[in-house]
Amino acid sequence: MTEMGHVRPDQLQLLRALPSWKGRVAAAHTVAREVRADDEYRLDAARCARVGLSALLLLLLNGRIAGVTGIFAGVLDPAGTDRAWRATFIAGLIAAPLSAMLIGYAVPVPQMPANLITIAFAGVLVGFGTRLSNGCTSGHGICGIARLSPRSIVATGVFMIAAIAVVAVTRHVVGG
Amino acid sequence: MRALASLACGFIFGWGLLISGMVMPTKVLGFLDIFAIANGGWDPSLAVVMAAALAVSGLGYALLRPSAPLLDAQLHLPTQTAIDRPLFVGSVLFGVGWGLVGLCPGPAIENLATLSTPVIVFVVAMAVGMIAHDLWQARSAAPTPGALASAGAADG
Repeated sequence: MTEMGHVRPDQLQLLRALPSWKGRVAAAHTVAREVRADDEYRLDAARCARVGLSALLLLLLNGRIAGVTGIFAGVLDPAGTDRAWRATFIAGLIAAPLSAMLIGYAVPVPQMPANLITIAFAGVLVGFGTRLSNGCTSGHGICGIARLSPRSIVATGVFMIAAIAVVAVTRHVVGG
Repeated sequence: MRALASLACGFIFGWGLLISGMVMPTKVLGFLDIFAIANGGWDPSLAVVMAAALAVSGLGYALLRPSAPLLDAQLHLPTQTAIDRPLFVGSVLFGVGWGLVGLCPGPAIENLATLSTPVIVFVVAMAVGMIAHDLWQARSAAPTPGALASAGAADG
């Protein structure tokens, strides 16, 4: 594991101490494939531009902001208007990895270095926070900045700094 | 027709997040971990995703300057412009949650396709947070029928 996963010995000690260690060992046979996928992975800016293309298309076609928070919250709200296009956007979002699996693309299973309670807590923070500030990475980070909205530029700066600070604490202060 | 266009946009969006690696929480955390620069562990690649996405949407928006969309009578752009306390507090809460697990709403919902338990827990918790916010807003604002609808029509 030290060799293949580039895990430092002290991190390995910590990992062994975690209750999830058994699961990691059980899933060890998949590590080689994942490392291979990581190594073969090449970032292609033209492909990444799809996110921007999608946001632009939604605005040009439907006149709507491709903000996942607003779209998802609109679907959740039983009294919400325009639930149809919101629901189809979500359906398209989920259909993307399903179609990728169909054509044999290795869709990565998300790994989260946190227990379920932390994950649930983080989920509530993300849900409440994005509604309070009216946007997330897509609504403020992409659509808002693209429109040069000062509100979105500030929001993106604030959530990036907060996230970087939390990662710094969990990885270098507590987990270091 | 609008629903179809939206389906296609969601689909392209999902592929973008998938190919760029934004659907991987570990990759997102690796990007947010800028203090790993010291030992060469920082993964800056998601900055490229953001830049590429902004180049397309920003340039497109600036060049095309849409006055009206193709499939609707008018644009539905955010009307709020105030840089106020809810914007700061909400962004901080979101950033903390994002930094804890590496998932933001788009990739979280997309990852439901993998049927991973932690992802389902995250999305359900996120929905709870959103509904809690909207109920709290509806209660603190004047209880007009349009309160929830207008709360959903802002930046995104």
